[in-house]
Amino acid sequence: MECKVGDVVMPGNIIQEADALAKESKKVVLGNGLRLENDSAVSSKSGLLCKRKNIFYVDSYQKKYIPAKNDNVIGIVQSKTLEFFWVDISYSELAILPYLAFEGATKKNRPEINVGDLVYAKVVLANPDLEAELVCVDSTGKKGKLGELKDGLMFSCSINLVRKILNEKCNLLHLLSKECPYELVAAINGRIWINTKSLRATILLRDTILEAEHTAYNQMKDLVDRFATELTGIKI
Amino acid sequence: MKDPILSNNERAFVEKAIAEKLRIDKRGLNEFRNLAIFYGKNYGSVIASLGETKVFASVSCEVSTPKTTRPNEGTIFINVEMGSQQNEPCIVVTRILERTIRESNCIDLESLCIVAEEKVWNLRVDISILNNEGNVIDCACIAAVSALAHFRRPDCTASGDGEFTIHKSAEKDLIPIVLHHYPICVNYALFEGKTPIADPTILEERVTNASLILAVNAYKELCSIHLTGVSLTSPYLIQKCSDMAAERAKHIVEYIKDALEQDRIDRENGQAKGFSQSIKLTNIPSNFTDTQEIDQVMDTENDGSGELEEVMADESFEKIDSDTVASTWTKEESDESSDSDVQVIEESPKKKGIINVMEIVDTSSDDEEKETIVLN
Repeated sequence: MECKVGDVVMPGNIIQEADALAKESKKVVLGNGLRLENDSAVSSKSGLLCKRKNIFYVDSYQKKYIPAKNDNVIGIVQSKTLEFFWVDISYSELAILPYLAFEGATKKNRPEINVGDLVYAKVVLANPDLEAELVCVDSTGKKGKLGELKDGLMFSCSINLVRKILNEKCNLLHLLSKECPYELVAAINGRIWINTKSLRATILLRDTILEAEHTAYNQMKDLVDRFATELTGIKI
Repeated sequence: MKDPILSNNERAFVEKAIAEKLRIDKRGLNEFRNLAIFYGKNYGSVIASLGETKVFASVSCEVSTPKTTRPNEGTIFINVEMGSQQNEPCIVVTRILERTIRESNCIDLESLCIVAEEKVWNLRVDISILNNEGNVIDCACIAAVSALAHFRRPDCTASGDGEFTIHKSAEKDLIPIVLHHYPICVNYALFEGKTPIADPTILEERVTNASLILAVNAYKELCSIHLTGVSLTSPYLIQKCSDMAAERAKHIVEYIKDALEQDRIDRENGQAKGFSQSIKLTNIPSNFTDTQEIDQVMDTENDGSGELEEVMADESFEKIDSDTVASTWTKEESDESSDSDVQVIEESPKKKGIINVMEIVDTSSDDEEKETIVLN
């Protein structure tokens, strides 16, 4: 069966377009949901076949997170060892977060993080045969926005929703910021952390963000209006 | 893999919110999530959902020998599974359900006797927890009770010399199980040992250290009580909870009876939809479409029914459709096994609908942002 870009593909479909491009001795990158089998590109997920430049990928709806390099994730510290934390990043295996991967950390000066705390970290090593490795610093040794997340509320959602609210075409977060000041971390492992000044606003914000999953881009304004109405109790 | 540790942030937030009488899903402290009951094509198969928690129950029966201590009573067996395996929470749920249903004597077991000391009907309730978003016990209890109320067993005649015949549904009408009352479990999570929270979500269940499960019937009779965890509970609190639970049980029993009546009318008119009605099309994530388009899809899906039947003739379709509830999960009763094919036909329009939405998606899709691409 012929699969063109923009078609729905099922696992096992052969992507001729990628093969043809590769035969012209051009570099082709197989992204999420595609794999190389017997020298041809085969889809391993069901979803929409997309292409950007020379990258082919399958845009699918999924809840399970699979670590990949350079992803920003929210993890829950599960336990400590002599050298590192074990962190749950909603993958089947725990990830490693070394003590030295924090800003200003030395062998003697360890980060003050306890079991059960939330950390916002970057994946630096994602090998299918090894535990994923996380860091809380960038390449220059600064922590930037990474690190421990204090207070607030973390909730899980589908990976689709995180991609959606981070998409440039989605103005939800921008519209929400006009109604109520908030802090938000949307991590690609399907976890969102929010913090506002009041508990009620946090609960309403969580609800609004979760509802965005079933809302089209052009209807985000209505969604935010409803949020503002509920928050202030005044009808606009 | 066991559940990861709950984050301190979530725990602290829930505790603070409950102290201010707020809940994460915007409910009041004594407010329940929406209940829905869907009856399958087979008698005795039910999907009950409480919010996002979903439980499937199916009742089956077989002839066996009675216990020597109770020679003229049938037996009932309850089995709870979560994701096709049993684990500790399942055993707890099984035990509570046994206490609620078997030990409250709500089923007339004597009516299940065929020949005393020799043959009785053995009822089996299989419960699969399809999705756990908290308060599995309430949902499982509602599913089990409504499945028992919905179940019909074959009629049976015994002649004097110990011989008996089981009639097929074509010969004699199937007969329902006699239920004296409907016991309903109501679960309260106790915060700080004094604030009862009705219908806890999975997060609240994990944060709290105690829960109180009361089984009450519509006549406000307490059938069983189950207190877990550590809490200082006053008699006043239990009294208050049981009053609230009695009110709730009354509503639920009415709801179950209404649903049964509706199902009976649908069956008489030949309009029983089965589990296909439990699928909500509006829950499709809409990255690009707006709701109008989904509505259109829902309309076209009705129009295209004629064309669909052609597809159905192809037997391979059934193989693809491995997640059809009725064909895989229901314990088939000998005379009703053919119904499962009909189930597949009923569900397919929904699936076609989903494919249509995806087609609309592709017309407007173009570049995605960086996060989409996971390079291997």
